[in-house]
Amino acid sequence: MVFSSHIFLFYFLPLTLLLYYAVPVRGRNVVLTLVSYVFYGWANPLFVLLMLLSTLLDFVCGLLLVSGLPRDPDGGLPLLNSPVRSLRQKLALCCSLAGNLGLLGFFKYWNFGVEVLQETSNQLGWSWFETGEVLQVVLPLGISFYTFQSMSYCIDVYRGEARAIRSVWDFACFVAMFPQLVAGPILRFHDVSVQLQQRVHSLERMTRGICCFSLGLAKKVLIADGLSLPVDFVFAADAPSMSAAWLGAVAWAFQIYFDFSGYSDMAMGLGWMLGFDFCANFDSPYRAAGLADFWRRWHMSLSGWLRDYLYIPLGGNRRGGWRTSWNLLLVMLLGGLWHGAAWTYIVWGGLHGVLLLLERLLRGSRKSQQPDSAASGGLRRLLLTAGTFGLVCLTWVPFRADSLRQAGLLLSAMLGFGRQDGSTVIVDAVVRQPWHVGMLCVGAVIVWLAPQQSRQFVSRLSGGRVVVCVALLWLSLLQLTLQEQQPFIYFMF
Amino acid sequence: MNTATEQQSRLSVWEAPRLCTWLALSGFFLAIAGVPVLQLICDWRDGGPAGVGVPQVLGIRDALAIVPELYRDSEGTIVERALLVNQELQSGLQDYEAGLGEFTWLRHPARPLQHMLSLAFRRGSEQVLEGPGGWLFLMSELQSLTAGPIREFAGRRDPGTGRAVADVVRDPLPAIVQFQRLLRQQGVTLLLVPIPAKAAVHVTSLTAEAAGAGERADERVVELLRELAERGVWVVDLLPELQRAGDPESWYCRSDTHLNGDGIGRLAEVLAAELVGRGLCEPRAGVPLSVESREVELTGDLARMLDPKTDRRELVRLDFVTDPQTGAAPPGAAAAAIFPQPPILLLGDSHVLVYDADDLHAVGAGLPQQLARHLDTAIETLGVRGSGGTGARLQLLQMPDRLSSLRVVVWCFAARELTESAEGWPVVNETIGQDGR
Repeated sequence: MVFSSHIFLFYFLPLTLLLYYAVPVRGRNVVLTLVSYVFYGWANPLFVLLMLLSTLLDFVCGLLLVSGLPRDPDGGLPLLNSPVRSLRQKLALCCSLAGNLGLLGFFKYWNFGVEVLQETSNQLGWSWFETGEVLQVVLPLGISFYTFQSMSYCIDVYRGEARAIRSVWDFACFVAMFPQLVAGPILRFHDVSVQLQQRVHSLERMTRGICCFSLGLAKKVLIADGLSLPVDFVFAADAPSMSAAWLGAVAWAFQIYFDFSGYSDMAMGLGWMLGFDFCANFDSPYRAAGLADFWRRWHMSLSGWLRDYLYIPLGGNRRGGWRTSWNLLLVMLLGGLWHGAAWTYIVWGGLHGVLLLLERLLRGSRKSQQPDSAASGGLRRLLLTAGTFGLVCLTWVPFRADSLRQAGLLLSAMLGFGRQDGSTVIVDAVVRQPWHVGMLCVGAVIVWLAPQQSRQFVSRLSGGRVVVCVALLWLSLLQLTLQEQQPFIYFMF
Repeated sequence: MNTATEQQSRLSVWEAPRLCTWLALSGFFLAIAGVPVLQLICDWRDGGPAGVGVPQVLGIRDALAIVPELYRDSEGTIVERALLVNQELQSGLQDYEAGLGEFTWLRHPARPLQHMLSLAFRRGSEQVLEGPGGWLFLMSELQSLTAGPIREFAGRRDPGTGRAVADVVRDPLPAIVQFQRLLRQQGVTLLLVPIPAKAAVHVTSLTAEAAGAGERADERVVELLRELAERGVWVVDLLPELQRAGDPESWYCRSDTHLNGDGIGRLAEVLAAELVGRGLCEPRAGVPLSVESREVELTGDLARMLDPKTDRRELVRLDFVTDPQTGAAPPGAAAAAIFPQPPILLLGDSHVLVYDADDLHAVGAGLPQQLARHLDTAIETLGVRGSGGTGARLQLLQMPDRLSSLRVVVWCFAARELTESAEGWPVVNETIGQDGR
């Protein structure tokens, strides 16, 4: 089910809120879990079984990690304080990792693996199997998100950063919670473990949640969806002009930002409505001055997850320059692959890895130079921000393109080497439609001039802000009926 | 999490006027609960969206009711049956959801918004692009013009270059060549005439920049036609013919996907010249048919796609053709019923039906009638509303008796069909026409 769909907004959400607040506090996790299964199973009921499998696996592994240890005085399960782990605990963690990564690997990367194998064998002149002979796997929605989330539970318990959970309902609620189930923010267990058992429900939180949800819905429906047409057009075009290619790439940069940050705002808003407080996922990413800065602001929950559970365990930047470079590159490549099983994502991750390394080198050499004056510092930051945005747009091209060939075609057009023919003017005409240009301008104004952090915007609510939010909500609802339903971009990851 | 922010936020909210809270709550709940409640009332009053007496929202019962029955009645292992039930349930839920969105009363208050955006920014929709001066273009047609070479996508997985679901049916060339060969085996000549895209004919209606470009926007179609001609298929490239004939105000309707009266007339002239030139027909020598030019007011299909209740009208001048002896229009689709074996069949999509069908703006002024003006023979029509490439082709191949009496099949369909056909271009089973199945 999509947040910006008729059925979610007008049927699922009001009924869920009604049900949630109608039951006593101790039953609310059960209600939330059950409605989350309905939410998730709506697209494909069978996928719920997969989620149940992942949930039960980690719940049992979590219990195994603390089994045999004395309980805390308050009756809760103990925190693993000692630095030594027994063989059983290590096995339990391995079991959780293998199970979750196995599920993710099979459902997300099987088809890609087969395809690569097939292409390789074809190029070598061998014919191992024909298309259609091999199993084709359907990708379950949001599997990358909930497996990471579920896995973080066992890792946190193993590391002694969180207590294991006793109630299977509470744990199922953590994994399945519908507001952030399909596209994050990726919750880390130690961030929400307390909220699962005790959280604040108040009119104030509800108000904040409503405003944040409305802002997110407006981002998605009024801006991101409005940009999808020129983006689709340019990324399918065979001979776009340089200006159309850049407009298409910038439109995509805005579309994915407003789509994903819109989703995250809606998730955060729904969380507040249900008493939770989720972490923010974006912090004005296109105002970043440098790629490292960009990654501190873009999809923060994934960056944080990869940093804490992959980069730092690999040694981070503590083991010398070469090892740091390797760790960075590996994390970015895996981050790219996490997004999707295709060469385009790997290239995207690889590009970011290489650019981050270059940036590290450049920054290292600049440290020895004199600091800038305030004026030149301001100009430098402006140039850095513009340069970073340009680079990010270039790297978004392989991310969005359907194939490496298409990516190459668009990149060469952006750099002025593209082929042009009679269809070029049609691409130009579509991209430069007043409506599309208007959407781009609105996007640009919001990205660079308006407040970006919805969390901050709704933290100090005034009458004017509430009116803006409610008006945006109603406008978005009307707009929804004028367009085809478009799922969130990150749903496919 | 974020205790400091939390405390600060809580404090600020306490400080905020309570009016804000109630404003947000009432605005939100009025929307999310008010819309479905009003929908329920409307449905009860109107007897449901389909007039069956049940509000749409209660239709969920139908989607769920099939589950136990389907499981019981289906065959195979438990897993196979479960998968089947899952598949049916999935599509039932999707249909249910689509229905809820489609029949909402919220569409009515949204119409003025669409109208306003259309006027101010030429907003269009996912299917229709609004050009300057009231010109409307079908988005999929524009995509077919700008995507990669038509045959290159065959076997590739770029979704941008073809809509056919299966890779193996994306390439139109084998299917067209096979069709021509099957017809030739029956002694029938095939004349292929893809109707050029509206934006390719009227590029300047879409963008002023195109005026000096001097290149064709539909080069990919030209490339395919060249390849087809090399394989012996008789093709007519209509675009140069339209351009050669001078420039009436337009060849296409502004708000419709079809050629206007001038366009249909010019198409008929070109076809007649080709058929006569090859000696397949005689030019009309007997009593000429009478022609009456009349302006017809129509609401184009593109305008309706943009807004089903649009009041946008367009005047189109059509030539209504009548036989002075009978006082009736030359029969298009009904020709076979009147003449034992009309030698020419117009095969294709709505381009062969437009202005000669009740639901396509007029009757008696379509392509069959215009062609009859030029040729001394009866012309039959086999047109489908949908795929003129595959649907119409398969229909004809399933009529072996009809095939045996034909001399020429003139195959006209929108050129976008070459890439945008959802069913693609399957090569047919060659026994299909032999036993009438």
